[in-house]
Amino acid sequence: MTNEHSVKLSAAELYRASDLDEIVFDDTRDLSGRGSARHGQDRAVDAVHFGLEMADDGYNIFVLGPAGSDRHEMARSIANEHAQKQPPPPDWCYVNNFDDPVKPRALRFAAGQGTQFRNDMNSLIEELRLAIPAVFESDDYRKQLKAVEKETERRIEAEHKTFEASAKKEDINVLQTPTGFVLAPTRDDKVLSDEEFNALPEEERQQIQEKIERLSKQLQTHIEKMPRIRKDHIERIKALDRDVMTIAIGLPIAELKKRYAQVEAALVYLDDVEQNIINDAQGFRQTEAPSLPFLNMGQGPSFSRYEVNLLIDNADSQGAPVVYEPNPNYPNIIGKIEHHAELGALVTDFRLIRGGALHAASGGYLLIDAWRMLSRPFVWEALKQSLLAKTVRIESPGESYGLLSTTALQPAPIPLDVKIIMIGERWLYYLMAQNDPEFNELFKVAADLEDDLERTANNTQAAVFLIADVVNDKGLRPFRRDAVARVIEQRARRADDSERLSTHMRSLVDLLQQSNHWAGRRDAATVESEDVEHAIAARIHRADRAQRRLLDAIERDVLLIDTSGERVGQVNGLAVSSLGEYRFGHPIRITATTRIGSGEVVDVEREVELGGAVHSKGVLILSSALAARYAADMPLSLAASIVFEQSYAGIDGDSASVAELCALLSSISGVPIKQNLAVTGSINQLGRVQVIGGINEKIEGFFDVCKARDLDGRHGVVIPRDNVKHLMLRDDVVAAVAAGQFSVFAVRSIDEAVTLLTGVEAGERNAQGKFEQGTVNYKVEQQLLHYAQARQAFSSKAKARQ
Amino acid sequence: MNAVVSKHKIVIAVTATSSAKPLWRAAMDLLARAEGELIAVFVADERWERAAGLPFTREISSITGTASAFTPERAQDLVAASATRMRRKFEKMAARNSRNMVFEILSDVDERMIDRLVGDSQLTVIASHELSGSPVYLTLQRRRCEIVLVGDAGLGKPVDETAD
Repeated sequence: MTNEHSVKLSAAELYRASDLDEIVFDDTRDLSGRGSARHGQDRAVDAVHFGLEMADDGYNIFVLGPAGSDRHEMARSIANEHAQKQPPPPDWCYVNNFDDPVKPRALRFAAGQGTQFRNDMNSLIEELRLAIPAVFESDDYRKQLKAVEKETERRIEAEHKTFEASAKKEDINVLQTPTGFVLAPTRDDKVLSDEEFNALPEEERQQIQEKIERLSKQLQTHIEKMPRIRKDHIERIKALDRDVMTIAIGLPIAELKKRYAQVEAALVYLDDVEQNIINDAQGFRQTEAPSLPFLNMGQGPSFSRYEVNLLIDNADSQGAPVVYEPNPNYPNIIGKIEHHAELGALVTDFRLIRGGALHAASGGYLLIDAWRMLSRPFVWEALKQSLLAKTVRIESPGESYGLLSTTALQPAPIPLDVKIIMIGERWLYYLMAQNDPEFNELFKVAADLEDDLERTANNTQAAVFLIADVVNDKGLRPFRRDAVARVIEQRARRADDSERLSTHMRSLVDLLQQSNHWAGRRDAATVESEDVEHAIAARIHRADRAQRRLLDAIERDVLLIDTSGERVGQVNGLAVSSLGEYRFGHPIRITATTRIGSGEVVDVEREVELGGAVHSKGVLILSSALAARYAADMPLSLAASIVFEQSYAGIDGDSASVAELCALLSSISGVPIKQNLAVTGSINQLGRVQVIGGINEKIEGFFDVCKARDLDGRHGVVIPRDNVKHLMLRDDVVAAVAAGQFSVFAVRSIDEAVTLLTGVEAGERNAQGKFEQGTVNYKVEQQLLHYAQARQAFSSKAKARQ
Repeated sequence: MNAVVSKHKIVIAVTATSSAKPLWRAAMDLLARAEGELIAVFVADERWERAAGLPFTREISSITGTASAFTPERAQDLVAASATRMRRKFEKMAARNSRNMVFEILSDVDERMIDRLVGDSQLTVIASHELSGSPVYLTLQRRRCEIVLVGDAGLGKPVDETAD
């Protein structure tokens, strides 16, 4: 018979305390400055370095790790190391395209030169703002202008006088009205009235009318000449203005050209600026702003068209940029074109082009959260497009998808040379890798962070140093040696493994900060282990409302869980519930019923779709194990049902398969199961009990129920042997075990579990292949044989009746 | 001995095609030297009325060169519109300069109205050159009024319509 004591764990096996003997320190002040969150993350760190070193296309990096794993800081610090060794990237400016203002030009300057160019252009504008009106107000210009105007007036007047004189010779006066001219016949220089005219002989009247008709046509011809004279006048003034402007702006523009002689695109632009100012000289003569802004809309030039929109400014950069965009929406990544309202219309120009994170990071590194990016529309497609095209084209998503037909700015694309470091959960990486072929082309490097490290002396020491650094960096009270040890132990508990240490940074920082808080509450200068303990307990207390409600329900027999006595076909299984980041275990009653049948085991959870795929798999495995173990040479003539009683939510995982098989065997054999025990573990087809997750929470969950009903020394939990290394149980559980009030049994096989749960030897086959009488297995086999025979007899009778 | 001190009147005489601004400036210059009553007079050109009475008279647009009938109604409308426009201009300028001003319309052949305007005042008339030789000009000369001709509003010169 399985010896209970041989599988019973000692208190020492339930918790692995920290061994910090090799680290000499009293508190964390003795250790600061020696830790690194990168410790143990060699694979991921090497991958990031590799990705950053690879200059070829597509070697962008995806850092895989859970939230709070310090993945951002790791990626950023490595990127910074690389960035410091590189020169700052160039500056980029957008300037007006005088030929096609809808398509602003992009100018590239050496780092810092963009600012200089912008300032130079601003100075030029300021200079021109004063110089150009001054030129137009100069005496010299006025004289020349007056001469042109006089000449034009003289021409017009000469034309009119000639006509007037020729009309007068024919006794016709030219009268001017506000809108035109009237030709009136005269006699003795006096306009004829109707009566005077009618008094004239018919022939003379006829002549006058003919004269007026003829002169009217001449006058019309004469008037038609006027626009040409005025046009000539305008052209002459324009020519004069151009001459004056050339002199006014020639010198300052020449100075700028000399300064930017190395930047060919800037020279071309300055040529255009010069030409544009000269051509639009007329517009610069207006020195006073109109009383209402709209009076100037679309009329005449403005100095703002010569401004420079400095999109990327690396004047103060010491190396390549490392940019993290916390809100990776489309405009923040790709850039945007802003508008401002003018009389109800939205207007824009090259000055309102705004760069995005891609621009800011060009020549360096851009860190983006994968989940945030994917949850914002259009960003992923736009990012891919930019990386594949190696340019950033600023356009609205509507334009990008061809949804807009209105005219919008089309800024020249800016070359892109950036290394993307995307940070996300593992599942997200695999999801993208599987579903987007371009993802693999663009993100060739995966930096997979370790969730936990082996709990070796070296790694423990590194964890201690890291704790000291965090304490120091966050300005917390020094942690005493025992407090550090307790934190290390909690790292193991977080890893669900006494032999490993979690690398999760956020939970570490949270625990340190909260421990510091509780130390502060008691006015302590240093943090002790009791503060860490308090922090852990308080965190659980804040989160365990649902757990307490469940325990309360069990105590009040609303949820039926027996913790004493024996029952046939009924066993206490163990489940773990997760609420956010808080997990807790609790017992769950599993029952099995059996009868004659054709070998099917009905998993009620699966039938009603409350059981997940893994749970269903577990039930199928135990069915196979049952058949293989007891009905190898006879038909399995059994029908069984397995139920998780009072379970109304979904259940997954196979960690209850040992419990389910035990309930089944109890039901078949009629041997009752002790209700003071709970069992967890999965089983394979050969009856081997296998490791399961959440072992600590499960044990503690049953312990809490038993404790509430007063521990009597018989309570305990049966767990897989392979889970012993994962045990990091609560102090009170360990203490209860040490006091003999509670037990934890570790088993390797279903037989060991059955023996413990029933108190009856499971039994092994002897040399003849038979189970010893009185054992559970014997009873099971006999009952199955009975079912088979009964079924056969029933079948024969039925055939006989037919 | 009692001396009769005559009242000083400054009269700005404008036509439909006069530039109001230079005339106003000239009047202001005069008033700065010697105070007097300010009167703006719109002189209706009687030749328009006579010409409009002829059935074949056409007005040829100075902008487009197109011809349209120049009827007595059209002539009256032009006079009324021009007078109104001038009155508004002068009122505006008077308000801006805080001046009291009287605005009148007279026909250049109505000597009775001219006599009433002159009365026993010492009259200084500021007029544009286009009025020289007109009936009203000759009448004022005969009444020994001081006439100051301002500007050079030759034929075809654009009418001053700019904001004052």
